[in-house]
Amino acid sequence: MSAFELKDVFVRFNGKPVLDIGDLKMSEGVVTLLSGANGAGKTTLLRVLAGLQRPDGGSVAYKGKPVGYVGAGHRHRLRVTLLHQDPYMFKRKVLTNVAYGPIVRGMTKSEAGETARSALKRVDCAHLADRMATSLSGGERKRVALARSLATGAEALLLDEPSAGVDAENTERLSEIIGSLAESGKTIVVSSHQPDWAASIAQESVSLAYGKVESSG
Amino acid sequence: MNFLLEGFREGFLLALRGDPEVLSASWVTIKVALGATFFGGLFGLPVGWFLASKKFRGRGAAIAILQSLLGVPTVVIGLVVYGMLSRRGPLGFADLLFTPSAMAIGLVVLAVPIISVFSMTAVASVDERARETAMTLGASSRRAAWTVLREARFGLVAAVLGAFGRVSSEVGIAMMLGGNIKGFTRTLTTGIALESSKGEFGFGIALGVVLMIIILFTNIVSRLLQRS
Amino acid sequence: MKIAGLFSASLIVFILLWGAPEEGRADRVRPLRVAATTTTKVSGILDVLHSAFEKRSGIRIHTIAVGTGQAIRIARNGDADVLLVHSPEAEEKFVRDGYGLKRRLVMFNYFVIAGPEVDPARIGGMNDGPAALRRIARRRALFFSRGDDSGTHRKERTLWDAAGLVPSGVWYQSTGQGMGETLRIADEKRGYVLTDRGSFLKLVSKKRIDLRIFVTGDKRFLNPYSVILVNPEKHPHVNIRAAMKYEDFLVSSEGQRLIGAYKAGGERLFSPAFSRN
Repeated sequence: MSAFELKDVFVRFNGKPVLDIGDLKMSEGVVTLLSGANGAGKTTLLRVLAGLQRPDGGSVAYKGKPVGYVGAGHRHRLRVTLLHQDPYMFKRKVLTNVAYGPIVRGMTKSEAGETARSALKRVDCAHLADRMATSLSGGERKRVALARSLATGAEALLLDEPSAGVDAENTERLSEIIGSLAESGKTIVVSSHQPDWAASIAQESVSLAYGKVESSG
Repeated sequence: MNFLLEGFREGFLLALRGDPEVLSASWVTIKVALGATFFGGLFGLPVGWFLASKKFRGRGAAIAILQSLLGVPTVVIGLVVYGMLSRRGPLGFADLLFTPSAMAIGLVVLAVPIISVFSMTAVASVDERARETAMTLGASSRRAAWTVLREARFGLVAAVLGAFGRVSSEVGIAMMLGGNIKGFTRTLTTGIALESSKGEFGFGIALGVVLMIIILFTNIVSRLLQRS
Repeated sequence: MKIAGLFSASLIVFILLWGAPEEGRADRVRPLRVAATTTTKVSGILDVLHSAFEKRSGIRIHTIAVGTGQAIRIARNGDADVLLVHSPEAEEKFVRDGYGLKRRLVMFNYFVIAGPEVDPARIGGMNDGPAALRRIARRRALFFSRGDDSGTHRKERTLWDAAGLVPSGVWYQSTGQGMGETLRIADEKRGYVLTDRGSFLKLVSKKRIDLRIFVTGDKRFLNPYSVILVNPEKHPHVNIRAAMKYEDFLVSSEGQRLIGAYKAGGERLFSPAFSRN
């Protein structure tokens, strides 16, 4: 069964087409690699899938249901979360940042704190819990943001260039995490312009060029 | 030179000794400024948030009007509110003229544009990605808006404290709407105006010292909040 | 939400404090609102009379000290209960128009023309006000006018009229402020000024100004202060009972005695209207 189904989706920016997808399906419970050069439309596609950017035309469905945007997309965003390439940190403590997803899902403070701590442990950042999130280095920020996405418990994770700016050791750790997520049945879409690394973890792949699907399968 | 030093010496002594007139003027100043800042925030913060986060027709005009209100002389505000509150004015029945409440009303009119404009700037300067991050982590639109507001909290606190500093050091409105009544509507600033007309330089300085302490305290609180 | 609780608690305390009686007074008697001229404030007589009245009657006074013109306007709008002012013509008109009840004379003193010690217009020793003003104008000596439609300013205008002059030029400057400010400006800039004796002597006695009196003794310099109740038929909300007590106190033997006894630098500033000596 497919997780995402797109039909005739197009997005314009300043009148120019940045995304133009006729037909695309992504499977549930696997890792899908989204590849393509800079400016190929990877980020836009992920934002469309995440329910953050309404396409100018066409239809997007997740598990058979049309994806909602803005206020109407709340239920979709509880199930699908996006990790930005350059993640934004709330001006709070690291733990508060990571606990954000659990909190908005109605967990108590202590439950959310527990969830956040174990997510931080998973990315080897437990020691950062009480730091101000704004004081993190670039690499730390990327790992904490991954923990924040993991803590939401969303069933589909869209990762925008998670390996960019990450050293070799942490890239390996990232591969492990992605692998175990897929094993536990999560749907993963990961974009990367390092196809070698990504190919090693992905079961399916979609290649974009100039906003169009070059190949998929 | 001696004259000035003498004034400062006398002023500090009066302020330190807790002269009842100094205390009463200080209390009136703080109470009226707090009241005006509270209600100014009650109106100004939502306006600022609304202007920063919603797109609607006439938004540019609304911002332009608020920004020019920032420059309106306080005596003009005093005059207009005087006309409203006088027995002959539309709100005369409430018997508010020459009371602390009248001063607070005038000062709210002064505070609202300050708080609106500066809180608007604070909310608008929050990173575009904050809202999107909140939403993708599962927040509803309302929750995400609240998160953006929390991200702007230092700017919002600065807007409110700035308004407090402005209203507590204001003279025109306090004089026209309060009437400078001893022990009732005499603030530190109107007291200074009166004492200088009576030639009581030292007493004026004493009031000035207390006013400076209040402003200094406000700024320290503001700095502490920004750091934590 | 600990912060929210703390915040609402302090809000409640604040609201309670707002309504608390000022200066620890427990009384709930409505205060009496007196619009009085700045000369009575600057000279200090007002504080003496008002604190004596408050002690005696238990009625709290709210004093609004402004120029006579503005005081009358405030009363006309119904924003004061009683007037203590010094501009007989304006007072008569106020009563004639039905805004005030009968005028009652409380006290008086005299205006003087004061100026810097060097006396550039050579008016020292004169006792004819308009003649002295003519000389100031001819010499183009600096003169400071209140210019605020106060009792003092109105008196000054009638004196210029009597002198047959319309003062204008850089030597004639209008301060637009109260008596205290105008005296201090005249002192700093070394100019002549028309002032009542009370304000002048008070500031001189405290060494706040360094001016000399040059012209006194003109009959036209008489400066009578009257009390007028605001007519409750025009403004039914006025505190007429307290206002009547206030009026009675000012002309009572105690009020009159206080006026006669008030001195600065060893000199009496005002003469009681009903003097026994």
